[in-house]
Amino acid sequence: MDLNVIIQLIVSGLALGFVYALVSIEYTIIYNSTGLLNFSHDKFIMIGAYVFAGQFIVSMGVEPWLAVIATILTMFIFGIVVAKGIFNPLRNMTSPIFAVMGTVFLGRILTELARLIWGATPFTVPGFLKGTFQIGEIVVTRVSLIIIVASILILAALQFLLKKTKIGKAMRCVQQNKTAAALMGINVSTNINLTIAISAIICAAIGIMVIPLFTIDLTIASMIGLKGFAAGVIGGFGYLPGAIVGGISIGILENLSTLIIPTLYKDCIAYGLLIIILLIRPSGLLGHKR
Amino acid sequence: MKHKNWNIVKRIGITLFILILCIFPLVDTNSYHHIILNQTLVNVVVVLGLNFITGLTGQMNLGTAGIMAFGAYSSALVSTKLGFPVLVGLLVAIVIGYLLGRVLGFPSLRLKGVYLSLTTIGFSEITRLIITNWTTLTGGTMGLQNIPSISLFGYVLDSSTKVYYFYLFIVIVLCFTASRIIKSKWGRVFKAIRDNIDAVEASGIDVAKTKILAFTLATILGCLGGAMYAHMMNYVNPTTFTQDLSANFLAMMMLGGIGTVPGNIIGSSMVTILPELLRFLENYYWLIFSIIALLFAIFLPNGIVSLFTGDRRLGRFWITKTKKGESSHE
Amino acid sequence: MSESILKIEGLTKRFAGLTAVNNLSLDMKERSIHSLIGPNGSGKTTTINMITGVFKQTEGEIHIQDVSTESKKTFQIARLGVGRTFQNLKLYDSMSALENLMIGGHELATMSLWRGIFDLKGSRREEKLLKDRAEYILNYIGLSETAQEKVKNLPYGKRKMIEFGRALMCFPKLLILDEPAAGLNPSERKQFVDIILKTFHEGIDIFLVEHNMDVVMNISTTITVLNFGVKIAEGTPKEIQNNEQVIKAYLGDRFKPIDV
Repeated sequence: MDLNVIIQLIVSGLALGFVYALVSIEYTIIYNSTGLLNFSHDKFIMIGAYVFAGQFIVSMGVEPWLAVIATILTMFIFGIVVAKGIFNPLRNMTSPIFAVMGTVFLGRILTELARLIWGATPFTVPGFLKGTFQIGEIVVTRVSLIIIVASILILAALQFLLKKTKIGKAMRCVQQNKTAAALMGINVSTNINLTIAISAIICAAIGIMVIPLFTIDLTIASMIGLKGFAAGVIGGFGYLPGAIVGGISIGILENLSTLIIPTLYKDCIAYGLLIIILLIRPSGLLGHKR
Repeated sequence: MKHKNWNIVKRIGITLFILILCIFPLVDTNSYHHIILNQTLVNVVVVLGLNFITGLTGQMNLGTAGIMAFGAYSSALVSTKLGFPVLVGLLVAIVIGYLLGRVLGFPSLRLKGVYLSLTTIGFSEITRLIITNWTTLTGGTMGLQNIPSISLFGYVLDSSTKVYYFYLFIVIVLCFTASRIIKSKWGRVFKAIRDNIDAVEASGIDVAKTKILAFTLATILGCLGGAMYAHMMNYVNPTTFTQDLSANFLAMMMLGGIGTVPGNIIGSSMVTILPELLRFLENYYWLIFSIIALLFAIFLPNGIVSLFTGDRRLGRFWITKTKKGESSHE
Repeated sequence: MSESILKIEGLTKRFAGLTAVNNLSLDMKERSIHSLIGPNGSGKTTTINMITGVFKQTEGEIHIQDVSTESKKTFQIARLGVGRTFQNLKLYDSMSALENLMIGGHELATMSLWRGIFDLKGSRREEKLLKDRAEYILNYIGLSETAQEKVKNLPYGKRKMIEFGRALMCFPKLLILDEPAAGLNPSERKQFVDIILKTFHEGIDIFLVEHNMDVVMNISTTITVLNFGVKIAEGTPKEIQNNEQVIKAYLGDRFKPIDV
C-alpha cells in the first residue's frame, strides 16, 4: 500500500479529529458546569456557520477576517441570551428528561430561525480556505492545515483561560461544587452564562472551519455533532484531555478504515467504537474516574 | 363513596371517547385527516413503549428511531421479499422487538444517565447507516416500496379508513394492557427503580432483570409501531428514522405527562396533530410549534395531564428558590 | 449454644490505600440484638454494605445462616432473608406510603409480567395479597392513617418508620438497621425502640448500627466496638461500658456508665 496515501489520510483524519475534539469540548464544558447535555449543540455550530457565511460573507460582503471577529461577537451574545433564557431554568429541573427536551426543542427553534432568515437552499462560500499544499509527494489540503493550527490555538487559549485566569478558576470551582462556589462569593448563574457563551464561541469556530468541508445547509453539523458526543465518551466523559484523545482517535481511525472497509460504512466506526468502549471500559480511554 | 363515583365517571368518559373515535371517520371523510389519525395511533403505540423504559424506569432511551426502523424493515422485508402475509410480518416484528430488548437492555445494566442515552443514540445511528447502505437488502436511500397493506384473513385493508379501525382496535387493547401493567406491581417496581435503585435491590428485587423487562416492553411496542407504520405508508425510507424522530417520541411522552397512559395519548396526539392545525401559519408553523413545546418543557414539565391531577408546578422557579432558602435556615 | 445467624470471618475492605475495615470477625447468634458501634469513620456502614453485598469485600467471608454470600449479588442476599434500612433514607419519593411498602414485598408475588398480562384474575389476587400485607405492616408500625400520603410529604420520623416497615415486608430473618435513631426526637426515638423490641420478640434478629448510647446500651444483647476498622472489644453492654479501651477510644473520659 502506498505510504503517501496513508500519510494523507492521517493528516486529513487529524484535521477532522480536531473538529470532533472541539465539538466534544464545547459540550463537555456545558455539561461540567450545568449538568446538562446540550442536544442542540450541532445547531449552535450550524448557526455559527450561517452567521459567518450567510450573513457576513454572502449578504454583507464583509472581509473574511472581519467576518470571523463579527461572528464570534455575535455568538458570544447569542450564548449569553440562550444561557439566561433556557439553560439556567432547565438546570433546576427535577428530571434530566425535561432538560433533554428543552435543548432538543431549542435546536429545532434554531433550525427554523435559520431557515426563515437565510433560506433552506444549501450554498457554499466559493474559494474560502480552498487549495492544497504539496510537501514532497504528499498533498495536504489548506483547510486541514488551518483546522489543525486553529484548533491547537483554541485549545491552548481555553487551557490558559481555565488554568490561569480568575474567571477560569471560578468556572472550575462551579463545576465541582455549586453551593461551595456560591458561598465563596462566585455568582454561579453568571458563571454558567459565561461558560455557555464560550461554548457558543467554540461552536462558531467549528462552524466556520467546516464550511469548506461540507455544503452549508441546515444539517451541516448533525454528523459531526453526534460524532463529537461519541468522541467525548470514548476519551473519558467530562474530561477535556479525554475529549481531545477521543476526537483525534475517531478522526484518524475513521479515515484509515476506508483502506479496509467500504467508504460508506466509515461513519459506523465512531458509533461502533462508542458502544465497544462503553461496554468494556465505560470510563473511557483515559479512564478518568469521576 | 366519592372514589366509586369517580370511577364511574372515568368509565363513562373512556367509553364516550372511544365512541367518538369510532364515529369520527364517518363524519369527517377527508382521507388526509384519516392518514394523520393513523399516524397518531402508530405514535401512541411507540410512546406507550417508550413510557415504560424512559417514563417509568427513568432510563434515558434516545434510540427509538432505531427500534422503530428494526420493526418497520423486518416486517416489510418478511412480507415483500419472503412473501409471507402481513400478519406474519407483524408477528416477526414483535419477536424482533423481544430479542432487541434483550440486546439493548444489556448495556443499561452497566450504564446510566448520559452514557445510556449516548449508547442508544449510537445504536440508532448504526441502524440507520446500515439500512441506508445495505442497498441489496433494504433498497438503500430509495427505501422499500410496494409494501403490502394488511389483510385480515383475505379482507384487505386498502383504504386509510379501514386501516384506521384496525389500528384503533390495536391501540385500545394496548392502552388497556399498558395501563394495567403500570398499575400492577411491575409498574410500581419500574417507578421504584427510577426513584431509588439501591433500595430496590435491598428489597430482593433483581434490578437487572427488571430493567431488561422494561426495555423489552419498549422495544416490542417500538417494533410493532414501526411495522404498523410500514404497512400504513406502504413505503419506508431510512431518512424517516433519524435522531429527530427519537426526540419527537420523547416530546410526545413528556408533553402529555410522563408515566400515564392518558398522558401518552394526549402527548402523541398533540405532537402529531398540532403542527397540522398550525399550518395556517404557513412558513412559521414549525417554529411556533417548537416554541410552544419549549415553553411546555420549561413551565409544565409534568405534562398536560398534570393540569388535571394537580401535580403541576407552574411557579417552579419560585418554588426552587424558596426551597433553597428553607434549607439554609435549617 | 444457639446457631449463628450472621458469621463474619476476617473481613477486610480496602479502598485505594485506605483500609476501612480490617480483619473483622464476629459471630451473631440467633435470638439476639447485636450492635456495632464506633466513632465516625470507623467502618460501620462499610461493614453493613459488605454484608448486604453493596460492596464486595477485599478479603474475608460472610455467612448468613451457613450460606456464604461470596458470589451473591445484593438482591440475592436480600432473598436469604436480610432486610435493611439506610443511614440516609432511601424511599421512593414519588409514591405513597402504601406503595412504598408494596414494593418492599414485590418478591412475595411471583407472577411474571407476561403471565400477568393475560391472567386478570391472578394478577388481581396477587395485588390484593401485597396490599393486605402492606396494610398489616402499616398498622404494625402505627402509620395506617398515612397509607395514601406521598412519602415525600411526611415528617422525617414517619419516613424512617416507613423504611423500617418496608424492610419487614418480605418476612426477613435478619434485620440490619443503620442508625435508626439518628435525627429523631426523644419521643420518636422511644417509639422506634419499642417497635424494634416488639419486632425482636416476634422472632426477627436485629443487627444494629447506632450512635445513640442510650438506645444501644438499653436494647443490645451483644455489642461489638470498632475503631479505625479494627474490632477493639466485644461483649455485653455492661462489659463494654467498663472496658478501658472502649472508654478511651470512643466514649471519652467524661462518659459515665448508665444503669441498665
